[in-house]
Amino acid sequence: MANKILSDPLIDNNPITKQVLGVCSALAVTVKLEMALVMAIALTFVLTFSNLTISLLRKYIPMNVRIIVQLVVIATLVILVDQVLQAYMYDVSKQLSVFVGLIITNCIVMGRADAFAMSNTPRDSILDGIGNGIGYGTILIIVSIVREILGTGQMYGYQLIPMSFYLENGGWYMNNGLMLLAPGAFIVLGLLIWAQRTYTGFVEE
Amino acid sequence: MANNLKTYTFMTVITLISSLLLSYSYSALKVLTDENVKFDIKRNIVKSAGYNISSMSKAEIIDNYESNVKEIILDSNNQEVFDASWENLIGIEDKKNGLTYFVEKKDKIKFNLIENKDIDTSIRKFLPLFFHSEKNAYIIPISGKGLWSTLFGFISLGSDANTVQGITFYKHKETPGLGGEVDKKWFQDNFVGKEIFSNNELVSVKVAKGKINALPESEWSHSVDGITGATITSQGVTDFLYRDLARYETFLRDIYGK
Repeated sequence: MANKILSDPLIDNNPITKQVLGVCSALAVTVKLEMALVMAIALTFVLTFSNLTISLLRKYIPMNVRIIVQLVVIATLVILVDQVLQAYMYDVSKQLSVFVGLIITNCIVMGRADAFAMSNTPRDSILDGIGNGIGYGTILIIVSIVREILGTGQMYGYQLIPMSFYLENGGWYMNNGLMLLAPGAFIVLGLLIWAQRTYTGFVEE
Repeated sequence: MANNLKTYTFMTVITLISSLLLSYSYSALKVLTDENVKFDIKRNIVKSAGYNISSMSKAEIIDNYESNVKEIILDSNNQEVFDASWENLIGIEDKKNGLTYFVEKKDKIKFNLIENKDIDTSIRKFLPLFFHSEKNAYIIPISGKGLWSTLFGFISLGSDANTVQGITFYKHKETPGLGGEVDKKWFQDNFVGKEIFSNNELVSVKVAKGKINALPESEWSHSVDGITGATITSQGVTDFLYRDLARYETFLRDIYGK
């Protein structure tokens, strides 16, 4: 059971490719691998601790205001992450800019809080948070690797495609500018969803 | 009724805990965050003077700044003033055009409320710049609108107040790979050696559309290659570079004429 909670969101029930949640940030922060990695870690942290907190409080939260309570918990954690990034990883936080703050509105976080943590034990909720965070992070990392290589010829900031291949240095190669824009992310994400659904055999009703 | 009371109590307690936690973490981390912002500015001033900061440690950059950089504060008529210091100034952005006004920290709230910041005279405005003694460079803060955001940076001019020695952008939200190329080395390196005066007239440096080879040769020393796919960011840089240099024109012309 525990293993299932952790592994289910990785492939079979991936929050991005299966449920198509959290796509906004998946498009926005996947231009570079470094940004995607920090975003994945930040979201996993928020998701795990919001799930834990909600699950601990689940018997006391008045049902009529449960969404507001979830928002308070999530917003608190997100602001905390933002402050820590600004203090310890200033350069990365400058690049991620508003997107850390936008974790608050990421449907995955709220979705898991309401659908899972409200009715499960703290232990299972933590596992669910980690699982979904990694499921989300994996897709982000794959998309960002493709976009960074095709869009800038780099990988984690290091030049991967030799400079001498480039047109301006007398070669034949040119970076694909489309990959740096949101449509590029859509194309990569679409291909991933296709691959994933072919693999799991899932069909939308 | 009893149910309502429970809801109210619960909400009060949870918001109280949340706000206490955040205020605590904010004040605990504030020192570090402020330090980061201050260092980022210093790092970019040193960078624009013409140093390769990627090979310098944090301590080296701070040391370089402290032993070489002199802060000069001008009033809006380009006269040097001595009753204000860079430490006490704060940059406030005009949201309409991305221009940064420098006012004293105590005037911040009042100045923010003013609608037409450009024509206002009720609050003292300053124009700070920096002189790097080792590189003999005058470093001027620049800011203005690109496509999505306001870009902030510095341009440094040699001791003739004419030749560009470096340019840097330390804050912007342009598209990475397109407008975001402004913070890349190739783009910034193109500015080095360009001239802002032509026949004793301030012309600034223009970001061309495409390569400068396509322009008449007389303009080569006043233009740099544009960024493919970032016409609006390029145009923005051209516009605010001229506008910001024009604010310091009297001061620069004084040195240039000598």
